[in-house]
Amino acid sequence: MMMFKVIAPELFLIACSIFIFLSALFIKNRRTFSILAILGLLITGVWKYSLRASIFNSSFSVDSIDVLGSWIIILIAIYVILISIDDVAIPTTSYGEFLTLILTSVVGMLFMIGSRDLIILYLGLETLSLSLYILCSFYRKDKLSSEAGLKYYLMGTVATAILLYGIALIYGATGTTDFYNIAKSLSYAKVLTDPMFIVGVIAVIITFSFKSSVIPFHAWTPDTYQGAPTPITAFLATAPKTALLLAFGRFFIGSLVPIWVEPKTVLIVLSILTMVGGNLLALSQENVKRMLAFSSVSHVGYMLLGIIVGTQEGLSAILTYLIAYAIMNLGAFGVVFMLKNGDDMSTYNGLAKRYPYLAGIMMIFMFSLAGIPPTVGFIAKFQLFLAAVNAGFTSLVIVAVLMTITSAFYYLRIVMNMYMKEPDVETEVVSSDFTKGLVLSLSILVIVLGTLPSIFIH
Amino acid sequence: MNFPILSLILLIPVIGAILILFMKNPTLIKSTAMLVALIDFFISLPLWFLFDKNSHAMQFVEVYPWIPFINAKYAVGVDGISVLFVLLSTLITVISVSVSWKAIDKKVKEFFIMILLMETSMIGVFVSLDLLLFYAFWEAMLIPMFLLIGVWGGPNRVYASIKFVLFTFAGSVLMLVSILVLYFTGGHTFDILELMKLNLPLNMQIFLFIAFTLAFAVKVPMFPLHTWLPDAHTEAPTAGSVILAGVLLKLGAYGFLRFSMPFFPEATMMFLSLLQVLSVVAIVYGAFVTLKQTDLKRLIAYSSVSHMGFVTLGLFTLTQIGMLGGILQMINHGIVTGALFCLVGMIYERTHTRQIADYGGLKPTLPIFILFYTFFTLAAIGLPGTNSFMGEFLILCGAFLRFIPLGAFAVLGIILGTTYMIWLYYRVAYGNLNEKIKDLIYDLGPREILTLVPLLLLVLYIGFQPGVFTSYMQSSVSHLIATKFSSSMIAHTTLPLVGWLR
Repeated sequence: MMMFKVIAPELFLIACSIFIFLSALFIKNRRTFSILAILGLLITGVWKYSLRASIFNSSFSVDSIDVLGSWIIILIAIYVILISIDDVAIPTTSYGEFLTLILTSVVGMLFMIGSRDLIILYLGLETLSLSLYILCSFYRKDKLSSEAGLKYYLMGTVATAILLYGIALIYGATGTTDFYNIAKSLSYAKVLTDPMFIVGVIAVIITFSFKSSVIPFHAWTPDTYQGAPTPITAFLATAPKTALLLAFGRFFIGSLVPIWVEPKTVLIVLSILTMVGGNLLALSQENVKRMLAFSSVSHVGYMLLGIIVGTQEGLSAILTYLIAYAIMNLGAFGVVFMLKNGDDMSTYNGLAKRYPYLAGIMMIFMFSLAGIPPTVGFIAKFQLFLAAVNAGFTSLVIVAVLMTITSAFYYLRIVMNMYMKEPDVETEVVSSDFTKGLVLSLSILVIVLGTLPSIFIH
Repeated sequence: MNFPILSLILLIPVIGAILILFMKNPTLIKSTAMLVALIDFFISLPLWFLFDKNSHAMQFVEVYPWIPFINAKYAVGVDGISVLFVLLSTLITVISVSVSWKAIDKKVKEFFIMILLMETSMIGVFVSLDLLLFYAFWEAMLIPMFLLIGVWGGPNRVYASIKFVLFTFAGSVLMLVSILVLYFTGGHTFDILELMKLNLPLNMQIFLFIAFTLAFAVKVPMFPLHTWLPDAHTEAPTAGSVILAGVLLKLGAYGFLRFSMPFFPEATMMFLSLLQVLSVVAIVYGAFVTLKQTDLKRLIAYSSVSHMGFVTLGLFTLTQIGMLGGILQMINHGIVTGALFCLVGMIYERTHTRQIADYGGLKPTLPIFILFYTFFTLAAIGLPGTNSFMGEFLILCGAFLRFIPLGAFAVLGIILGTTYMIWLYYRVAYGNLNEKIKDLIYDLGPREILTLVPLLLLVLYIGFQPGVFTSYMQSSVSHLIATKFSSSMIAHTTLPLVGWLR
């Protein structure tokens, strides 16, 4: 029974999602659903918190990093549910399905985070991806939304197929899919020169790059982000990244340590490409959602530094970054969501004149994304760079730092539009006071965690 | 446990800013900002009286854990160099609030919030004893200044504000990498006093020196990194210009004194002649460009490049007399140029033109204005009896001591400086009153006079009693020279360029 005890929170969440799906036939009140879903998520989180164990021959375990990662994902999901209560574009008739899909994707991510085995990682990733494909095209009448879902689906399935292929090759070379045992078998020199194994690892890296939009595997990102419903874009930009970076980070760091040099080189190249490309592409965007999409690409590039470092310190720096990233990105997307035509750059012209508080909040998020103190974005970058310099990657940090300057251009552009231009189009805030309060509290969190970071760095 | 005076000075403007956030009435906002600025100024005054001048140690120190995980602390304190700048910052903030009283009519609330946040971050830079804390304040300053220029500035404000941010941001992020490197070589500490004791290998010193110095050189700004300054100065609102000239530019020079020199003494020696030459180039080039300006604010902005050249020249002579002059001149420049920007701002409020050609003949019409204007022009020229005279004199002494041609070129700057200031004075004060502005101008009111009087008194006080001010810095400066730059080290280092000139 031990086995079920450890995955009980996930099983409970699956039960919740089925319950919501079925009760959607009878209840039509969005609020009731949302409260149910949030309760389910919270219980899962608390439950998960009380567990520290591993099962299936250590192929699924829960440690403190997992618990923290799970909480990040759960809180993101709760936030997304809270702001999407307002979203009239999602029809009430299918709101139950919407929540069900969010819950199942959370289940997938929780499985990914806890996995210490490639097969479980794969299962989690598929559960996550299938839910996301549908969520992206949830604005059914919107052409862009359908395109977003389709593009994500086509690219995503290819990526998971490659992962399956890679797992098979790694299994062929080492006789196991377990992170720990792969690491053990690597001490045999044979595996290091085995082309089967190397191709397998490259396949895993490719899938990871696809899913977390590392350049040059990022092509789906801007279209999908732009087309997807804004709450889902916020979700897509934050939660899966948390799961992906933690799960794959564990694989790279946990399994490949004996042969860390080669995969590290590949990741270094990918990281530089992602930082440089993401920031340069973001510069020329006229659509705010697309800009934020490319900016999130570049943030993954920074976070790769933590994996490249290849230590527990790097992994915890990634975790800090993920928390910071989630807060500021959810906030920024929240503001985009609150404005009518929020993804149009010109909507922000003169926003400070019409909605000074909203503009102030958005400004805080932009400065945080650019990594200027006293915001949480600065602390996150700082910790990541600290880990990287400690491991001797000073030149890589210099690249990252130069790219940070580049990123200031496009983040400041929004601040500039809000404060230094005259309003030329009618901007309208289309959301409840509740959403406003939610976004406001995120902006306060950005400053508080930025000035007193010891609250969340341990 | 001492009274946490420095934390209080840092905290009061933030509290003021938060209070203002909830206010609606513009007059109430302005009065609150003024009150907060005044309280902060008066709380900073005890620093002046209680400071022990005979000690080079940090005083009023407070240390609390900040991010224990990486051993970063909230550590603040002042020595003889920084204590004067804290006072200057609180004074300049009062002046800035006063000078914005009527000039700011849109987004009043945001404006005064920004001024107060600016005050905290400026003072934070001067009092930080922890590198990470220092960097946080250093970068945080960008946000209010960016908005001050970009929102309340002149017609080209957006361009100027972006240029300002990108120049300074680009300059300082490399410093972040260096801070990280220092952290690991220094044994996982950000403690500035601990790190000062390190003896770094020369290769590392060179890399770190370049990164740090670049950040500071942009802020000063040194030639050829000065191009953001005229734009920022010209476009900024009066208060912004006053803060820029009064405090912000000093941060770079302060950084040289606090970090570049004590942390990397050998690298400093290596680059010394380059930095000296760049300082002299800034003096002469800045002065020549100033001569050609047709815009009042731009003229004073370019003259700042020249004046700051004097400051860095003084510091990089590495002689006690030159360095004291350099520090004194920083304060002098803050006071005199701040006052000149105030004057320009006051006259601009009336006429809405900054073109020099639009003025003339103000002498008979605006007697009070001209009184102040004459006085501060003479101070800017460096007339004996005014503060700038003492600063320039000490700097030149240091320069001549170090290497005669340096001093000779710097004197050229003084001659040119006199030329452009007198010529400007002639064009503004004499001649016929311009028709364009005839009906617009009226003389200074009591608030404006009150704003300028403290600056005027300071000019005279420093001019006649410079010893009072230098006595504060003396032991800190001589300690720095004695511990880091022994005379044998200076004598034995062959400076390539100086050798070539000889």
